[in-house]
Amino acid sequence: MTVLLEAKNLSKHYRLSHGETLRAVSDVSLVVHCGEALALVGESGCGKSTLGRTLIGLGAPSSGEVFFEGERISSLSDRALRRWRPRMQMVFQDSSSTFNPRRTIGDTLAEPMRIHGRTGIADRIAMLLEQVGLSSSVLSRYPHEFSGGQRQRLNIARALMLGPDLLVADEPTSALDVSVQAQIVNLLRDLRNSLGVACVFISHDLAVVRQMADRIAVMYLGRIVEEGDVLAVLEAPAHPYTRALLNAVPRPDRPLPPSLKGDVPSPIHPPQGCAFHTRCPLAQPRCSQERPELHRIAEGRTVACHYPLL
Amino acid sequence: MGAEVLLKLHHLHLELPDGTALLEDVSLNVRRGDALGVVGESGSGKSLTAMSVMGLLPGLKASGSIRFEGRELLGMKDREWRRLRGAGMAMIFQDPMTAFLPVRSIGAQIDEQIRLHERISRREARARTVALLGRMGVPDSEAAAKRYPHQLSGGLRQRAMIAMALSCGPSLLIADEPTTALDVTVQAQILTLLCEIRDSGAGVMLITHDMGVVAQTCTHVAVVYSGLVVEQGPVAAVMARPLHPYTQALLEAIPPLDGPRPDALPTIPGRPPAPDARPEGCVFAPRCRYVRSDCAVRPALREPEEGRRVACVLYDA
Amino acid sequence: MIRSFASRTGQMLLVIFGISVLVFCIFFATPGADPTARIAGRGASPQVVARIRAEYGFDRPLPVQYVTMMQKLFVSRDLTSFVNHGQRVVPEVLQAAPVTLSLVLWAAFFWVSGSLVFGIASAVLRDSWVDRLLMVLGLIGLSMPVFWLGEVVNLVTQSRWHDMFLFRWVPPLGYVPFSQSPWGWAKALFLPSLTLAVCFIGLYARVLRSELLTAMGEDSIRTARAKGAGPVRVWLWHGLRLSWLSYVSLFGLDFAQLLGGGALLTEVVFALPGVGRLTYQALATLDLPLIMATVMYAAVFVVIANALVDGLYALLDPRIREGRHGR
Ligand SMILES: Nc1ncnc2c1ncn2[C@@H]1O[C@H](COP(=O)(O)OP(=O)(O)OP(=O)(O)O)[C@@H](O)[C@H]1O
Ligand SMILES: Nc1ncnc2c1ncn2[C@@H]1O[C@H](COP(=O)(O)OP(=O)(O)OP(=O)(O)O)[C@@H](O)[C@H]1O
Ligand code: SF4
Ligand code: SF4
Ligand SMILES: [Mg+2]
Ligand SMILES: [Mg+2]
Repeated sequence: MTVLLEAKNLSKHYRLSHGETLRAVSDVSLVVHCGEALALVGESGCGKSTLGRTLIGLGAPSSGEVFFEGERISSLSDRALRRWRPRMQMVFQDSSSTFNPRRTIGDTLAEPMRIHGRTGIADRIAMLLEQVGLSSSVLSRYPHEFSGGQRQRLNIARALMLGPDLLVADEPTSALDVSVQAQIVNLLRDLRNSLGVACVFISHDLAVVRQMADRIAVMYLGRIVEEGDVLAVLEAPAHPYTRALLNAVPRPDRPLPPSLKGDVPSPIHPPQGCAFHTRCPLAQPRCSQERPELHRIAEGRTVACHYPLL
Repeated sequence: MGAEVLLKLHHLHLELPDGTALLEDVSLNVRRGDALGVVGESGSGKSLTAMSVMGLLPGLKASGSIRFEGRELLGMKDREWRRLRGAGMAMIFQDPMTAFLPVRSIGAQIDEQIRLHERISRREARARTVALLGRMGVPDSEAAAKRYPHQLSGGLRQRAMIAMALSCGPSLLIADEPTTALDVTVQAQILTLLCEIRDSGAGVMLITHDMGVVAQTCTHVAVVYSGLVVEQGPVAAVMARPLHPYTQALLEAIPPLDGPRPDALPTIPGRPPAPDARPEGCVFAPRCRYVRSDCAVRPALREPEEGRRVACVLYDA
Repeated sequence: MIRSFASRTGQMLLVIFGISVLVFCIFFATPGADPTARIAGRGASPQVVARIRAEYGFDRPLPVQYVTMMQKLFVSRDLTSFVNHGQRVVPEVLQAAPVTLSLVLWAAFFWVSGSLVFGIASAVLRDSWVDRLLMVLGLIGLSMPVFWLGEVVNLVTQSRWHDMFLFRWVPPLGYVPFSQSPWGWAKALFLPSLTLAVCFIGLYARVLRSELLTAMGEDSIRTARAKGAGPVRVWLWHGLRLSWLSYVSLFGLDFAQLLGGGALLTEVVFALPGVGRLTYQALATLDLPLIMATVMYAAVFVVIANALVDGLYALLDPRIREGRHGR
């Protein structure tokens, strides 16, 4: 498989008003292969969205590099990035804010192609609407006339207008009902199969991730703590945090296992050593002093823990 | 079926002043020590059901019957209802950030509720607040009571919300999507807390759209579709063998966490009808895969099995 | 805490400095106009002009002129009006300040209490005829020019119906210091401050009404009702708590600008010797030192009032106290 996107030691820090630094993403390295779906999971505030945005050049990283098809895009100016923009697109959770309420759907869909001076707009729109399962009668209508699920379809169609090779989908189904969520998950899978788009899929729902993704990267406080094939990781997690996440999913077939204590620490003052040691049921004295690095434990599996479960 | 029925909604119907029916026919029971999960898609009327029980919907016309501890609530004077609210029945909301007044400490807000219902001094109220917060697992509860909502994490805020709801020892706790705004690991903590409350003998009504949450915390479940309860029964039975075609479709649409990965998830075509455009007959008919001619008459709830009720013609004897 | 206070004070001083420079430039550094002549007033003798030029240093560079001016205003306080026969300007302003302060305090009392009553009533009874009536009344109050209203009030209470029992108590126009007779002070200010308040009542009631209605849709109000709080408590305790932020900031600004001379028309109509009237006189006679003094006085007041409002804000809302808006 050819590598489409590669991030090396990527960090993104935010300077806060009172002089503190918030480490939203720290030292993340990952690869996305052509046509592959990589899921980023983790709890709120662990830096999933920030990482997703930084990967496709929306906001410069504080340090580290991003390569797209081998070319470094992380230090490019906005102008130079313009050439790459059509190749990488983003879909957001809140589809209603992506659409200008006063413009027709047709207008909004055509806009990216107009900006990039493409031709054959009408044909492309017709084809994509077909792909996302909507009829071309939607073009003259306004965003508020659609249900959440339909808007999310349109949102996806908009992101696909320029024929990207990489789609970053930030919680595309979180605002939707299960029945609609199933439609969108199916749609994204079909699109990947038929168009060969690679996908970075951000979510906190492990069941959806399992359905959608090929590989999974679990994040905690801005770092990747475990990475690997999605079925393998969810079948037998190696990191205590991954296991806790999996345990916390409410399921009919078993009673609630004891949950993790406490809350996620603040990313402004992350704990020393292993960031998870304040909540980890397996923590040892070493964990609070020495930070575990990501290391390989099996083919295609990496984990950042001194005492992995595998 | 020993325990006493705490809350009984019977053909609850709720309409706007212009006559649009928001809730068509909601019938359900909550017994002491039971947790009833109310599930359904967004806009199906789950919150409206909860709010009507609390009497928080002035301006909407309710008919039917809401009996709480044997008393009929519909038609009750607002003064009496007010005495029940917060004391006999209490409610917690989805977003604990906005549900608290941002400009007062959470302790003060819990004290307020206690002192609204009981004539006790500020100091006694505060002592009870601190004890409650402690029981809900808020660390350093004395200091926590003095903090403002925005100074607490989402999980702690929701614990404080629950503490407030429990402060006057209500016999019914209504929770409207109490964990939707929280992280999964924190959600698990809150659900455990709700289970403990249920086990202590209160009735719980848990509104959610997450079947997993219901399965984990509730003893019974009621499925709402477009303003109607279409199925009700014990959680284990409904999960194992859903009767109503809508419940079946809803359960199938959830991606599995183990076992083989399906190529495509089963979906429900179409979308729920708007309140002013419900079909004459079965409300689910336009999307139902088993639809047949006698579905054109609105099916009433029937009881094909002991303790299970379903509104579908497939279960006629 | 102390640090933020210090930085706040620093900011205030900086703003006042900026304003003083600006005002100085407008009055004294406008090219092509000789400030000496303007200070001296029309028809001043050459000796006077020469004296002024020396005293203010108008023959020296601009920064020196500025420093001299400020020194005269704030340190030695002997800025003198030549138009007005050698009157010291600063004491004059300081004497007028309590009059304005009294007037504005009374007016604030009326407009705050009036708008609270009107605003809450029309929010509670929204869309009823009471609400509509109150809002129309408010609009009428808002659109009545204050000098016209003042003249009408004077006409009615001073001459036309002065002898009616209703208005017999009304004292003649003018001001009575509080130290002289508190009762007389109150009587003298009652009608002027009410007149001044009329246009604010409508505006503030409107603002409060819409803020209250917005607040009533908030989740926390729903929580309050779910707790079993009664309507009075919900509206007054919870609702007001959420809605008075914009009310307070509006109030701070209006209060400050009135103190700074914005009550000019009222003071003139009711012959109250306040800062506004002083400004009016100064403008009428083109008395440059006096204008300078009143403008600076106004600036100082607006800046101080702003700081006070910010402080009040922080007191009312803990999120602002910590310099962030929630999560
Ligand atoms: N523009 C910003 N300025 C300062 N801090 C920010 C900014 N954007 C995000 N953050 C902070 O960075 C951290 C990571 O945010 P991010 O949105 O990436 O998290 P997330 O994993 O996507 O969470 P969620 O699941 O809630 O969307 C959070 O603590 C957030 O508060
Ligand atoms: N005060 C109201 N006036 C008019 N319509 C209302 C009112 N409150 C709710 N509705 C409508 O009633 C329907 C049911 O609303 P409800 O809030 O009960 O849904 P829900 O099941 O709780 O959905 P969600 O999962 O999104 O919270 C919705 O279509 C909503 O738009
Ligand atoms: S390194 Fe230690 S604290 Fe961190 S996850 Fe592993 S066992 Fe837990
Ligand atoms: S009544 Fe008919 S349409 Fe309705 S759910 Fe049953 S089979 Fe389907
Ligand atoms: Mg995010
Ligand atoms: Mg709801």
